[in-house]
Amino acid sequence: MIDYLLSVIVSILSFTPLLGLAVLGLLVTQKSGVWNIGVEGIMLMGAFSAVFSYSFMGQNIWFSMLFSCLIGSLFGVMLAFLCIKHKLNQLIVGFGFWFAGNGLAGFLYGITSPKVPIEEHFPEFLSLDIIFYLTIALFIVVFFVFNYTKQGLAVICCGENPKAGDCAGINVNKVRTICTILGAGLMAMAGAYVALAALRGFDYQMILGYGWMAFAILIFGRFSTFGVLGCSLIFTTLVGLQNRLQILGLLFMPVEFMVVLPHIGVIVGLFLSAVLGKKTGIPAALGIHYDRE
Amino acid sequence: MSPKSLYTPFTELLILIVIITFFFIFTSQVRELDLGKIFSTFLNASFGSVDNFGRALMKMTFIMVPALGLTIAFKCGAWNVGGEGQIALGAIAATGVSLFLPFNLPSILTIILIFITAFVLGGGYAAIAGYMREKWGVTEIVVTVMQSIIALALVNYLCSGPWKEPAGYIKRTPAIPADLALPSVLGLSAFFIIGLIMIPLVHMLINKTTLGYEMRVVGYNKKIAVPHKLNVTKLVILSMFISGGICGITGAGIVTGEIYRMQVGLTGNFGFYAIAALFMAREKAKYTIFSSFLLAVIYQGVLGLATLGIPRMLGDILIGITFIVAILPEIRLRLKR
Repeated sequence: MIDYLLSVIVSILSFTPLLGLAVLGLLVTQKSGVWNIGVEGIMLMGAFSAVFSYSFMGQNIWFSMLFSCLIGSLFGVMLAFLCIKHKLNQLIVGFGFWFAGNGLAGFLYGITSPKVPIEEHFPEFLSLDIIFYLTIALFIVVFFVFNYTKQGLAVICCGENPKAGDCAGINVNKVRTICTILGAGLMAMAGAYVALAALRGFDYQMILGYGWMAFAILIFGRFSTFGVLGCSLIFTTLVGLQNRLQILGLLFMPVEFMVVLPHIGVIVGLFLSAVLGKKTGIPAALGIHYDRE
Repeated sequence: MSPKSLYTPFTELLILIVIITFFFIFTSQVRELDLGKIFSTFLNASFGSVDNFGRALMKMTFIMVPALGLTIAFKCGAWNVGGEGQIALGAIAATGVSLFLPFNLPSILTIILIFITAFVLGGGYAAIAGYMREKWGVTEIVVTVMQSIIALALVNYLCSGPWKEPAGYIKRTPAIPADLALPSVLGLSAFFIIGLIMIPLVHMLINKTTLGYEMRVVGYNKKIAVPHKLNVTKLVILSMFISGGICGITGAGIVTGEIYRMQVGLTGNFGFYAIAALFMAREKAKYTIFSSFLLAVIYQGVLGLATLGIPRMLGDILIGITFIVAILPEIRLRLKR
């Protein structure tokens, strides 16, 4: 019995990097005051580029992970170029990225059809693979950077009050650009993890909803590093339980409803954060361009 | 030549054509297809025959009508990007009324009832987002996107569960009664005419009425609206309601004029194409017909290319790129200053 429970817990926890990395990427991006609505597109693009590079660029699982991180960063560079350098509407450009990323991944997969089966595994430790520990370690690193270093303070300052940051000698747009690129890379790695370790392949519908779930987690976790980590563990557990129940045929509500839950979560989360006001930790300058007048 | 004069809608068109050509060349290289064949298939889907042209015109209507609706919201400064969900709700309303109306009405009255229900349901759905924005300052862009996904899931649920056709494996509802279908000639249903009438109506509403003027003032600058004693909250919610309602009508038009039932994927991303059409038309009602025809050609072309085995996700890429390309004029506005 205990063995069975342990195996269930392990199988649920092994999904942590999927939501964890995506949420971490979003956290880094949004803390600096930039919306990135295109999470789903970037995640799917990351998943595709991982499968692609595994098939055509030497079957190395680590290289695939890095390659997809690079592709994700490219999306970050584009977002930074359009929204930070040229000050376009971040939400609309992100929306475009969502579509373009999804479409590009599906299109390129259909055209190139990389179908080499992924047989390599990440090294395991206590029956959880190394990426799980990497995710937790990254969370701790981000926590320390945000709370105990000058650079972390600069990022938070760019999100809360860019003008004050500029007066203190921080190059606001540079900080935001770096954060956007790093964040996009992390999101792509989340997608790559699903493709390489969880699903072992690519499917056009594989990310469906997880990106928006990351959004909901970020809002419910109140933008604090460990709050977000806790929330993503809870959501991971819920997703895992839902999958288990679905396999056992014990699901008490229609699948469509479960699919919709994260989206309702985003609306409710935004609503609550707007009603509760300051306590929610949404950066004050989120989505507001910084112009030196 | 100043950078300002370089950036016209034609530049946008040129960028899109270059990108499409790039994707076609890429496809022909990888799949070893003839480039000419790809192009001819792409264009044949809309211009190959009278039937195909009629289909393209129908698609144009389904893109143009929501684009006209969204124009009203955008003019008022409310970024309603959830046309897709409002179309879906309109389709749900139309199917619900035509299949489950408990009493008998003459068919013309039923059709009118269908369109009114679709208008109210779609408009109400959009008005929620407007109310949330005005009351609590929640970003309407995110809320409307989320609402679309929820509405699409509702369509999936109804088509696979409660309203499913008893016989058959396809996820769709039974066909609506034949007398409720809009009359159609050569594949063009009466909804095309409704769409054409809608252009001058929306244009007049925005440019020639007091309400339209007030909405434009709110959209242009809220700070001006307050000393003029305009009720910003009411205007924003009203503009969202009308725009959502017009999107809802599109849903009813798809059900009664094109496929005569509700099925999974009936909205076909028209709501998202509509936003692209709206951006390309520079938020002007009279130009939407051109931009939506262009996008309809792309839509039909991508569907046609699927017969060559080219994934239909090409359409999604083009929507995404159109969004970004169409919002580029904001850079131009800054250069002008």
